[in-house]
Order: sequence, then structure tokens, then C-alpha cells
Amino acid sequence: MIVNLLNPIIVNSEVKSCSDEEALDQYILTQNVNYFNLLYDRYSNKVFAKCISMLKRPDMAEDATQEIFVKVLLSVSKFSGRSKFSTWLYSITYNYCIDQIRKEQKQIVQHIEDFRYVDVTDDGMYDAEILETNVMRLKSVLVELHSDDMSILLMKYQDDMSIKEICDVIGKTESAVKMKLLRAKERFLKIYNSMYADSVEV
Amino acid sequence: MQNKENNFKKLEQYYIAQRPDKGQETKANVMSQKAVFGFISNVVDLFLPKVISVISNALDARSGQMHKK
Repeated sequence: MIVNLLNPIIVNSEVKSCSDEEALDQYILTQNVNYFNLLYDRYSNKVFAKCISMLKRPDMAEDATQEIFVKVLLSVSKFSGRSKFSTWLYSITYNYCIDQIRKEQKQIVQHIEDFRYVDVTDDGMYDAEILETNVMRLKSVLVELHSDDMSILLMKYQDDMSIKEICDVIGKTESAVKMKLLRAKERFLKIYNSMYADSVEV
Repeated sequence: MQNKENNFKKLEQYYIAQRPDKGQETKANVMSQKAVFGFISNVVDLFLPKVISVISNALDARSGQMHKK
């Protein structure tokens, strides 16, 4: 009887110490919702923050968070374990948000893919300028950016994804990702300068 | 990059701070959708084999009658 009463506590403490991948494996094996709740509690705020960055409206971001976690629930068995759980989850998040934006705005491709076959290296060009942008200005500039540019910058600076992980998420080659990243940084700075060139940062 | 100031992380925290109930209502909605999907898949698991066997029996019976004729 006492063992039965203590069981949920033991299970809960075991659950909380799981890594993401262990929790997912256990959820698939046991269908115990505590494992899914753990992943939700760890990541729902981050998913929400990405959704609100991209979709702009809090109500849409909350709906998107719900849809994304339902998608995760329905496709857990498809998770191959080739990447980290967080990378897989964020890839569902970015793809969902980009689809929503395309549906809502029928956003046409603004810029022609520009690969030019030059060897672009991810040498941290413009990183300091972008990372140190004042938070409110950062928010305003991101709102003006194309969703593809915004998502690649969030992957790089907010999620600390490597180039290889970004390749997996957006399904492009390494050189294409480096070029997209560089272009996104350039467009970010162009918008920033057009908005704040004359003002002194506070 | 780790040592530099990263305002993307601060922006993320700013958005999280604005989330009213930290997603508890959304969590409940996700769980209820899971319950609905679970129910539907249980119904399919339980009844689909029976439906298939009823249809195949009916087809067998029909083809048997055709042979008799």
C-alpha cells in the first residue's frame, strides 16, 4: 500500500532526471504522459518564444505551440535519434511557422537564392554587432525580416545550432546554409541601419 | 560566441515573460487532443478487423452462391 502511494513520487523523480531522448524513448515505450509532460515543461516556453517572434501575435503563437506539440505527439515514432530532440522540435517549430506565414500572407519569395559558388566561411562575421543589438531594437528589426532570414538567425543565435544542425533543419547543403546565413545577417544590418542609423543607442 | 553578450537570448526571455499562464491551458488542450486521438485509434484497432472480417465473409458467401448457380 505504502509502496503504491510512493510510486508516483518515485516515478516523478525518475522522470525529472531523464534526458530529452530518454524521456522520449520512455514515452514511446510506456505511453506514460509524465514523460511527455516533462518535455512539454522543458520546451513549451522556448517554442512559444519562437512562434511569437515569427508570427507576431500572442494568440497565434499559443495556438501554434499547441499544434506543434500535437504534431510531436503524433510523430514521436518518426524521431530517428539522428539529431538532438531539441533540434527536431525546433525544426518542426520553424517549418510550422514558415508554413503559417506563407498561408497567411501568401508571402512570395523576396530574394533570389544567391549561391554564386563562392566559398563562404562561417567566421562569425557581423556576429558581435547583431548579438549586441538592444533587445527592443532587435525585436523591431526581426519583425521586418523575411521569415526565412529570421528563422536562420534564431537557429544560429538563439538556439546555438551548428551549421550541420541548420542543414538538417532546412534541408540545404552546408555551403548553401552559410550563404543564407551571411545574406540574412547582411539584410538584418541593412534594416537596422535604415531604422536606426541616425539615432544613438540607449 | 559564448562570451559575447547575446541579446537574442534576452529577447527569448522577454517573450517567455509575457506568456500569461506559462502554457498550462495549452498543455491541457494538447493532452485532451491526445486522448481523442487515442480513443479514435483504439476504436479503429478494435473494430476495423471485425469490419474487414464481416466484409470478407459477406464476399465469400456471395461468391459461394454464384458458384452454386
